[in-house]
Amino acid sequence: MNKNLRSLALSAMLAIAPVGSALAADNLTLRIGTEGAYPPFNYFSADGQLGGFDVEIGKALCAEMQARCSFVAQDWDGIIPALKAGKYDVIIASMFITEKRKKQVHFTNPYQKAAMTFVVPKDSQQSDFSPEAMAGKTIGAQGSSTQADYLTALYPDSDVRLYPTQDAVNLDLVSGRLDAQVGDMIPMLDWTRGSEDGSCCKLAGEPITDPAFVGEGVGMAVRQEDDALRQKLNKALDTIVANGTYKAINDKFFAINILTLK
Amino acid sequence: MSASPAMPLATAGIALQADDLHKSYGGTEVLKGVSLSARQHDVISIIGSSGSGKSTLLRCLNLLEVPEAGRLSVHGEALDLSGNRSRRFRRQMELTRRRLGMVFQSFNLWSHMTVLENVILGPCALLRQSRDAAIAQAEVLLDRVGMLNKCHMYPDQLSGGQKQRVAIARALAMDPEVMLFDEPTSALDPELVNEVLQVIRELAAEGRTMIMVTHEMRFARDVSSQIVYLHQGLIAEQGPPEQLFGNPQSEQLQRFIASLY
Amino acid sequence: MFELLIDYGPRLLDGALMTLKLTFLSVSIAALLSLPLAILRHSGGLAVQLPIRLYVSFFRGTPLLAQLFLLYYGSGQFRPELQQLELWWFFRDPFYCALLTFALNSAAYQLEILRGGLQAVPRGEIEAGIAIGMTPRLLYQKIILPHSYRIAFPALGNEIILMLKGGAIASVITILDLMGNTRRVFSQTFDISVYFWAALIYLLITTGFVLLWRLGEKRLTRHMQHQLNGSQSTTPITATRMEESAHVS
Repeated sequence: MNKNLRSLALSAMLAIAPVGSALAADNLTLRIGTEGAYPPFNYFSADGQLGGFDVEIGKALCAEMQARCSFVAQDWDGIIPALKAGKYDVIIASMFITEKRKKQVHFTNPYQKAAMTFVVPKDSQQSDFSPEAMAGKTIGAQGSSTQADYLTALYPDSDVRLYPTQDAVNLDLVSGRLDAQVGDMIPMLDWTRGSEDGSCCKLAGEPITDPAFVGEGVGMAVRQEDDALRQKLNKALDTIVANGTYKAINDKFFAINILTLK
Repeated sequence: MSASPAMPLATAGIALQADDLHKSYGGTEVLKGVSLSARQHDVISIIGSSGSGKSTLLRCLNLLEVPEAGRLSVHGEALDLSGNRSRRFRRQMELTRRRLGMVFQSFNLWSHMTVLENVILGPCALLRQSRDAAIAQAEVLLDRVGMLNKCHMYPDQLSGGQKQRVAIARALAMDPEVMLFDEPTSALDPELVNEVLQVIRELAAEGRTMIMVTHEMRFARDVSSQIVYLHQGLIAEQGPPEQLFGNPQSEQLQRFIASLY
Repeated sequence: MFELLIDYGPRLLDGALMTLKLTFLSVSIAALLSLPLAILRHSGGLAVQLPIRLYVSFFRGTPLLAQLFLLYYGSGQFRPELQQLELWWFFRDPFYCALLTFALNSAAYQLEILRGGLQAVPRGEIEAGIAIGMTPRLLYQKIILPHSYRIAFPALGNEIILMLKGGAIASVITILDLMGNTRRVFSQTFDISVYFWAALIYLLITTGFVLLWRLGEKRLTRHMQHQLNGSQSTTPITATRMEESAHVS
């Protein structure tokens, strides 16, 4: 091999090698990023451990992929930039798949179906949730979310308030600072039916399933160059859905099947 | 001379009368019953070694220090100092102070105001003079002390002697019945002492009632109508300068005069 | 990077205006509050001093964020009681909650700064005022307060700058100030340069303020110009509120 070919081959090898540090060894080590502030999907339990649907799905996938997993908590606002910066390798945090986000990251197949809903106080008479009917009203949502984008785009005449966490939105709906909030359907169902302060409120209006905002569902995000990892995750997801592991975890948290919302 | 008993209040002619003043700091009694009488046009110099209580005495006359016991009266109007410290008493103190001009050893000019502003503040705020009238008066006074051309300067730009002269003008602006001087030249460099003494001399010549604490013995001798020698909180001797300096009676005064030369 | 500025510049400027509004109002209210409190703290009896010291201790010893949360979410818990007292309209609004928190916080700092100024007034000048027969009110008005504020001026300027920067947490309770709008733009674009522009705007604001404050300082210390030898005392200090609160006296 002459000098040029040799150096070309060398650089080609070096170029392939660092792709997806996750795939460096045969025994896969996977760092999973999640928010930790979004019950029942991801949260910190009383003893400071991460838990929830997302965390359990993550552990199940790792078991299936025979990978060693660790979890990293990250504030929602910075969750995608931290992935791109290499703080972890995949986001499993009930993130909606949207066009805007696809410009930054790539998603696996959906592992939950997506829908948003309005939530109002129990005694609210509001039945029409069109932008015109909600003009002048105060609506809350978590910042950097699909709900936020939805409200910002379609409800310019309402007073839209954005909060750092979902809990903060809930608190203000309970205390009456907000006339309504828009949240993910499953967590909202969980909150209004399952928690003490959530019993103040009820879901209202039609579920919002506009794919322009809601996207194709809830997926796991990886860096755009980590295609091999993405495929591994998809394969593992298919397996755990097929063999009942998914259903077992689903039933632990929810009364309905959240992959199909039935 | 021991502490004199309280003297009956005299009629007009007495500008300032202090009776049996007592003042203590901490546990120590500094003034042990001092009485002083200043007639109209008197120039009284208070002398004594340090620690004798002379500054305290002067500051009591002005009520800068409030004695625990005694009486004070200015032109017949009396203030009973052993009374309680009520609001009315404080108000009386303020009014009394306005009738007594005070010149401090460290000048105490208001440093954030110009010379002119220093002199007109009292009359404008306390004597209800109009600003123009106060300025006109101030200019006259500053001219008298030789500081008119510096009336728009700030105290920081003046020498010690200049500051003291402005302080004198400031005190005069209130048209006080009695002028009090607390060691007016002690903080001055020697070459600046004379310009201040000259002003004080002129004030004495025009008949101002003045009470001075001073170390300048020659000056005190020249200018005063009465010398008061204070020793350990009591008046040991008092009288006209020729008598006190020429023929001191008490041993303490003799020793004190001897120590000066 | 520059297209970002063109597209979202107006949004950032809106945020900057809100930041300025919130900062300016809070420090002004704090200035009004701190003066009587400083005087009381300086010369009042123990009965008045103790509650003031507790107040200062609390607001200087806890993070601003915690204070903000306590007030905002805490008041939310007491909605029925507040409605009974007809105060809910105030606590319902995040702007008023932030305003109140920042004003109370800044007043605690300003109070201590002013107290330092009060203690540093030349004793002799006060005596001259007493000797001339001034009432306490006149003494404060003509001598004590002018001196105190002059002495406190540089430190007060620093405090305002700290409030401006510390107030960036207002966005956590939904206020669309500069930081809040910056986060919003970032969540739309994922373009990190928006934080650069935000930082630049903050820098412009603080630099402009420092220049103005120094001008004021020069004017106020006309009477001691030749003493100062060109040394400036107002600088945009970089300590955060957290570090500040560590120096609880």
